[in-house]
Amino acid sequence: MQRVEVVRGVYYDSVSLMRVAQELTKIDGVIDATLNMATEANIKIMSAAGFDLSGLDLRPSDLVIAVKANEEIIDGIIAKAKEYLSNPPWKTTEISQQYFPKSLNGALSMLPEANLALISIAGQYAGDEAMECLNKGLHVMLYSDNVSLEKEIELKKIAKERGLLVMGPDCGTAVVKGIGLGFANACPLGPVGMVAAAGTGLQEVHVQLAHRGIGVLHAIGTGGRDVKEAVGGITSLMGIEALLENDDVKVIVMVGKPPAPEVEKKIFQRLVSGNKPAVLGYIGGELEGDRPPIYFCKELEETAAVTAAVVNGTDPDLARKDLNLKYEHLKELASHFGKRKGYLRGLYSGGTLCYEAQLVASKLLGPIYSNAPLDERYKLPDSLKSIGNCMVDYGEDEFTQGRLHPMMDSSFRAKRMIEEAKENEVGVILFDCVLGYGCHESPAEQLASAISQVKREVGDRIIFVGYVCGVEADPQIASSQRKILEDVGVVLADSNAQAARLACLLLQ
Amino acid sequence: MRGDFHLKERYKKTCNLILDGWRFSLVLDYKDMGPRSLLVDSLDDVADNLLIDSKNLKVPVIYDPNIPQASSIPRRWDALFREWYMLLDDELEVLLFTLDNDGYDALVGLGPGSTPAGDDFLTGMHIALRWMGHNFENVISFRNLESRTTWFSSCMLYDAACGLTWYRSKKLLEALSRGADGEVEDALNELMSTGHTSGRAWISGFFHAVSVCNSFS
Repeated sequence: MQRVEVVRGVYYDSVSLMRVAQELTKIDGVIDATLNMATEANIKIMSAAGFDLSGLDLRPSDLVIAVKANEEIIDGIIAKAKEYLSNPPWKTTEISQQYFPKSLNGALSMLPEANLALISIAGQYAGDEAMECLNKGLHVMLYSDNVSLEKEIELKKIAKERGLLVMGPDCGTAVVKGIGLGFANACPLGPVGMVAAAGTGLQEVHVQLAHRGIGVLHAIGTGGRDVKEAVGGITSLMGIEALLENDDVKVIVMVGKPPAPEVEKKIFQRLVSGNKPAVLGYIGGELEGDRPPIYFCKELEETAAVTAAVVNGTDPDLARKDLNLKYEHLKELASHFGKRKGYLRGLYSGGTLCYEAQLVASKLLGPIYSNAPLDERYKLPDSLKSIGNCMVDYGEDEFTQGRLHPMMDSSFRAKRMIEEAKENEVGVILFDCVLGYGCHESPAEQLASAISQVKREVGDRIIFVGYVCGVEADPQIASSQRKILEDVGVVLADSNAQAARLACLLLQ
Repeated sequence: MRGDFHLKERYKKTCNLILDGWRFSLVLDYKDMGPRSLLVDSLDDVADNLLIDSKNLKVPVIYDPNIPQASSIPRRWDALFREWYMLLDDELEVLLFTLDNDGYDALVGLGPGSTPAGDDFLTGMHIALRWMGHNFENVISFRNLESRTTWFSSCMLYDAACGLTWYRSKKLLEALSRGADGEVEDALNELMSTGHTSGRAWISGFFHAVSVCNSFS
């Protein structure tokens, strides 16, 4: 039975709404529960999840509490939702333990030596706050997205004049002296300095370097638009400059989509004159032929492998050959598990991981449909409905407005797994599971529960291929997360690139 | 101290006793020390109807509850004091509303629990005024205070008005005067850990009083 209740003119932050929904779904007899502000996007998502909202006069400022539960308890569940909202059981310990300054000036009075501000507020206000931070002489990590391009350019130009960095907007991760900011993995300190667009691309290279025993000192996030012509690579170039000047950084790594030609040229020229080894991991880029001490890579794992070779003083080409041997071995692995019929469906929490997987898969399977496609001709008309071989990036704005990022909550993606499995023409489901600070405490558990349900319903018709992006020292402990997924029959790969290849090879 | 103490309230780490209407406390944690408090090793033997003969009780003074006089307050904290009203969000918003519409006196006894948040706010405020050496006689009326709020709370307000305070708040006063990095943060964190909203309301009242005084100076 379904019950929908509309509460007018109230606002709760997304974390509170998700927490309440999660608590409700733990109650026996509750099939599903969701709380959302009634924006158009949320209504669409709730409808797709099977809630009938037709006939309701909804406005964006309305809070919708929707519950599916046994008839005898459903009224009590709605009441419980309201009780949790007004008096959250988890609030006491979170709020009463620590004093958080409420203003920038207040924070600076308590931390006068601070030189960096991390801004994570609604995009429309983030730009002005960033400007205030620059005016106070602070470097800025702009975690917020939806900051206009004009504002980004203005901020970065002013920052450059003052010798300050603006990391972002949409900078989800960075590392300063080995300390992770935002989403970040607990990797070792070392001689590598990174400049990256700052999403899961940075995390994947960071993690893959850690797997190879190589640590990172700094990783400067730039935001995805920094290397576009309009911004001119301001932060990327300042980051490279800082890493060139830092004697503790022995190798510079750049990770992201290929820059605009003019920006690419500037970066290359500065690195050549800097005379420090550098690895340029332009994902899906066209540059070929290393020009030591500068090396060009097209995938994330390759970037890490070549960087490790440069740090260790071994042959980068040999590292590439070893990697290709591993990729060849995936064919045997695919034969071992048995090939499946049908389409590949990728469900990603990481944008760059999804992008890389599309690059790999498009070479093996042909065009890949996506909500964030490589080629706009293959853009999904409706991100909630897959077409052919398809990969969906759940970190895109359409999925994160009014709800937690999929790296913090995989439940929406887990539901999609169940929906995908209902289609007979689906043979392989590919996914990522990103760990680290800021991520869900156990994303594998959220996904494993859905995978178990699919296995019960369709048996081995569908094979799940996954990749856990994380290390042992992460709060979730990588091996524990891997075990949870392996226990429900997921085939795990050692990198995102390998997972994408294996998923394709498993299809006939 | 003359007479017999009666056990009034028992908590996990504190027993509150009453004598002539005044609160006295036995505490297990030094951080819970306040006016008329005694640090003890165990509360196990404090029975519900226990009478303590105080006539011959002699204990060393290990905590001085007197509010010190601030010689000067570093200006670096001004921005922090100005945040006072931002602390009154969520369930404490009613304090801000009441303060705006009805003034300080209407805060007495406002809120649930043994120390209503309104009293926490006023206590913080009185301590700040004492600390800064200002007159506060007209802030609230102390007449019939016992009938307007809880017993414990009225004692707390009287103590503040008399220039006495608790360990955690005194620690904040000292940290603010010294201006040392980290100490103020530690002291504020300890205060925030007091009750569900008590610490927050107390800090808000304290900051409010300091920022009002600063704006006149």
